[in-house]
Amino acid sequence: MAKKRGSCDFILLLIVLMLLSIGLIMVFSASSVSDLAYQNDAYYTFKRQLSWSGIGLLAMVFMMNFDYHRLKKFSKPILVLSIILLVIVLFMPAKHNANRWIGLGSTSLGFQPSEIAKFSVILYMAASISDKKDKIRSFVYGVLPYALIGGLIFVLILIEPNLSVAGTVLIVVFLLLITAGSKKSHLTLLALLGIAAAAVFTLSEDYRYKRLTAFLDPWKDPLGDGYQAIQSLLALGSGGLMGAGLGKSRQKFFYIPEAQNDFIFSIIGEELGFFGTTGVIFLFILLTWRGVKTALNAPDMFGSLLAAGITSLIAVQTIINIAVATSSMPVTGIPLPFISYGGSSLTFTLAAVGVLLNISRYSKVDRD
Amino acid sequence: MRGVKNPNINLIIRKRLVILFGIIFFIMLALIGRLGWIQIVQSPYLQKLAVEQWTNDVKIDAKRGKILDRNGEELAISASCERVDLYMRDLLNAEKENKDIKKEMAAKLSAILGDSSDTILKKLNATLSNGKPMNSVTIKRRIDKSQADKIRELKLPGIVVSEDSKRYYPNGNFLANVLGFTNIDGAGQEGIELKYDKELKGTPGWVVMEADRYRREMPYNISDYKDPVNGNDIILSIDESIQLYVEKAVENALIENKAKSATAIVMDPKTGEILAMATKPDFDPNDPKKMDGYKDVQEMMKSWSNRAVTFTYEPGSVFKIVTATAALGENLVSDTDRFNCPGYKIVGGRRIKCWKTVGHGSQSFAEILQNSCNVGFMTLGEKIGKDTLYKYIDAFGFSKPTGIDVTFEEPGYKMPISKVGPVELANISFGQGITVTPIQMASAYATIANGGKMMEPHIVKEIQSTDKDGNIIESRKIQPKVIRQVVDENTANKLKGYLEGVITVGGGHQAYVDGYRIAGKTGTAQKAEGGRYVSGKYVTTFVGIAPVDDPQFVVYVSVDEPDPSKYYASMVVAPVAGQIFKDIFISRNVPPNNDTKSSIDIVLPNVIGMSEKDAINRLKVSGFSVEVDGTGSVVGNTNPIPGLSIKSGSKVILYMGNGQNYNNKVIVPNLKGLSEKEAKELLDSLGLKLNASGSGFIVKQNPDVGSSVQKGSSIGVVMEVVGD
Repeated sequence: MAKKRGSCDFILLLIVLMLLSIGLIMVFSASSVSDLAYQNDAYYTFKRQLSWSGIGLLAMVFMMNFDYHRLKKFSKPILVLSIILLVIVLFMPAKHNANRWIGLGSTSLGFQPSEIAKFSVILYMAASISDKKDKIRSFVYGVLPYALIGGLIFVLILIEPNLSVAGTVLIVVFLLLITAGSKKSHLTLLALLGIAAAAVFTLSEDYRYKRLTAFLDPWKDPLGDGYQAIQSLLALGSGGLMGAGLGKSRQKFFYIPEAQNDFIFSIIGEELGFFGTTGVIFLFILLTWRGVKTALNAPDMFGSLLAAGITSLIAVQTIINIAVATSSMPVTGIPLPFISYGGSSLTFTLAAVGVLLNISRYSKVDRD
Repeated sequence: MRGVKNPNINLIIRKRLVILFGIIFFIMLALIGRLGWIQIVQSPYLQKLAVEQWTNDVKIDAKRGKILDRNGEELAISASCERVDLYMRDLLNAEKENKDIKKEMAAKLSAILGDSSDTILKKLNATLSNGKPMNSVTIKRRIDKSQADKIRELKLPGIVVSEDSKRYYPNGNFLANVLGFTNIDGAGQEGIELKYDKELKGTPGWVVMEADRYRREMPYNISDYKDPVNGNDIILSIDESIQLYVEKAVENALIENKAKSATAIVMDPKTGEILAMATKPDFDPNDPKKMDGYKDVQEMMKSWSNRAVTFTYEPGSVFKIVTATAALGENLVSDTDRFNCPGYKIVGGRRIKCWKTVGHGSQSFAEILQNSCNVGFMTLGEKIGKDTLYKYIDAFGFSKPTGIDVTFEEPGYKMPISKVGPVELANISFGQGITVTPIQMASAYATIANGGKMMEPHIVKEIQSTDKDGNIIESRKIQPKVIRQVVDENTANKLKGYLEGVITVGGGHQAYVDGYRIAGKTGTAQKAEGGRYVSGKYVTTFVGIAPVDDPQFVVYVSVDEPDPSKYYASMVVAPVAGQIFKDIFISRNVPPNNDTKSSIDIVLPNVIGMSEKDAINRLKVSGFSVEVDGTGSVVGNTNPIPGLSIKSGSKVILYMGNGQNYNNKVIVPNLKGLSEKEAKELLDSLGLKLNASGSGFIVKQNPDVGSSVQKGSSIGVVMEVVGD
């Protein structure tokens, strides 16, 4: 079954390196002002992001050369491990009123088990579905186990609480089921169930409903629920077509808090304009295309599903992040892959891309 | 192919993968579309909002122009200082980060401003009536630069330090009712400050600075800046030194006469320029709302009023020049005409009294002016008729504002001509039944002084624009404006001559200044309240013109409600005007006229019987030069004889003797026109006694001037109230 290994998808690699570079530059631009004010060091965040990028790239290169087929046998242990970690994290000291982090030695360094969980679900499903093959068409064997596992992880992450990551996991599980070939009727049922649950969840609390619909008219409460959406729109809007110029953002002067994190896309829009934002989206489209291509050309179903899962995860996070920045959906904290500041997220994403690149090395057809 | 029922799962996966990519691609394209909407279509609007958020428009107040007197003396200046304001939104944002920020800020500001920390905290917590926080609050105004700089350094959220200015009147009450004052924002509220507010205030400039979320400056360049344009300087026609004398004189008049108020105007009749304008009681424009000495706010606010233009009253005899001008101008009177005054006149079946109830007897036109005989003027008025008299009243500009460039000028009142019957005509002829303002009265006399040509009174001489460094860029001089020729020059000069007689021999004698030719007229009018004349309430007025041969000054003085025990204008205001004239002549170096200098002859005091040393001292005090003849311990005789009027500086020879056979003869000096006190002093210096009867001023004396009498004799005098 093991084929001869070729070279990896260089276009994909190039896209990832470009996004990573854009991320480093923009993280520096977005964070230097508040770092200077709060950390007394304009390079505080930048230096950390640089280190994480290094670690991430090492992880990527390692995974690039690690035969993905060997991952299959780790899929169950990794899933169990991540579920255990998701339980452990609930007992860790809270940070910003949430139990999302497991400290590694010093409290400033740490990782989020939910990051591992995202990938472990993908790995598990790819491995499990590829073994079941046609049984995916059955509800009991093909849909229910994954819905339950996805639901378990969703709940564990939700009670941290981290609704946005939990939701991302569900979406990716759903997308993998689509890709894997589940019956349309089953998928529709799942989708309806999910929508109904979301609706009940949203409408059960008034404040939730308010918060979730704030993006429709953020100016209703400009200093409260609408604040972030407004500030993001002001950043994008004031950037216009050409942008204010690299480093010239005004919104990063505390108007957008922690601009290097989830709202970095707004700062890109402010400094680099419509051309900058469109450029970044095109890179993600290209990345998605290369990911899908890798999935299509993968030598086996496991490779296909794994590539599809990783690509979907990156695409979903990208879409959610940009949709939030453009006030197209309620504000949630999803980082922009490769670009937003964040250690564990970046490292795991790069490691996943390494897996993707590894799959591309086993492509059935010649790369174009 | 495994058949339809069990389709190739790999094919499904491939199909689904393409669909998945299609969905993702479509969503990302949609996001690009959304970005285009935000970044291209809505960009201008969002950018405007963003700029509003980033920028602080800081207004820079223009420096208010100065007010100067005609010689450039500063009367009102603006000192620059600063103010601290709070923009609440920024503080509320900052409070989200730091709950105790208000307390911390209040403590820091309190340490710099000196206000209690509680007071400041209250301002930081200020709310609108609906309980929501205010948009902005003024923390403190008019702080000095060092305080402002310290606050700037703190970079507190929402705190904006900007320029402020403080109006300062270096001379306090001086000219207050003319200058007016400004409110805390530097806007004129009264007087020149209000009338010329547009000129004085200038155009504010602004700076647009970029600020971060907590209103701290961003490291970008100032995005926009506009210099303020300083206000123009106003140069008044007021002469500070004359104003000073006038204020002193008016203040004294107010106090001495226990009066309600006193007002004076000095005007240049040739140009209409106001050289001085004073009202007492007044106020301190540096602190116009101080309640000290006032019963209530209304009374305090009344002190702001410039009574020279707001006080309307029945003028009484000073108004007689209008009747006189009409009579002369229409050739209705000649020097041969006689006017008989039995003390009253029957008009329209009513008996209207002259102020001198015993009557003035038969008088010429000049004499009815000198005596201010009401019967004489009623007779004239009858002759002139109401139409012609009204023509002259209008020509002099009564019952209309003069157009002087101060605020709140009153027009005065004259009854409609249709309602004027014989009684009303008679009253108006001697200045009752019509109301005027001081400035109208002064203008009327200025018209006579200026050969019948009426000039518009004005108080601003020049308006200067200055640049940032105070250099004059542009200067606009206000040109004198002729209103009209009220009467021909001959008539005016003739009347002026008659008015000179009022000073030299008539009721205005107390306004006389040795060596100068002054024309003028007094007036005492009973005040009407609620349509009835009130006893014990008078307004006394004097208006004078000097020098008669080339009039340069018109002096108007009025005292409202003087002590009723001595209320005649001749006694109340004529001396005040005399003092003002004297001060003006000195300060403006107007030389005395030698033709009239005979009158500065001095009565030689009696030094006979004194020791040589005492006698010499006494004579030197009076300005005589002394020559001593013979030896002896006491002065036995002098040449000339005591009591003779001789020129100041003349030589007096003292004949010394042993004190046995000295001269006892003294010459009786002229006492006419003197007050009892003055006559007593003069006779004392000669060793004579005074035996006075009546009150007022001396009109008769016995023995007559030049008689030789024994030292120690009594001189009998009769006194009368002269003129009104």
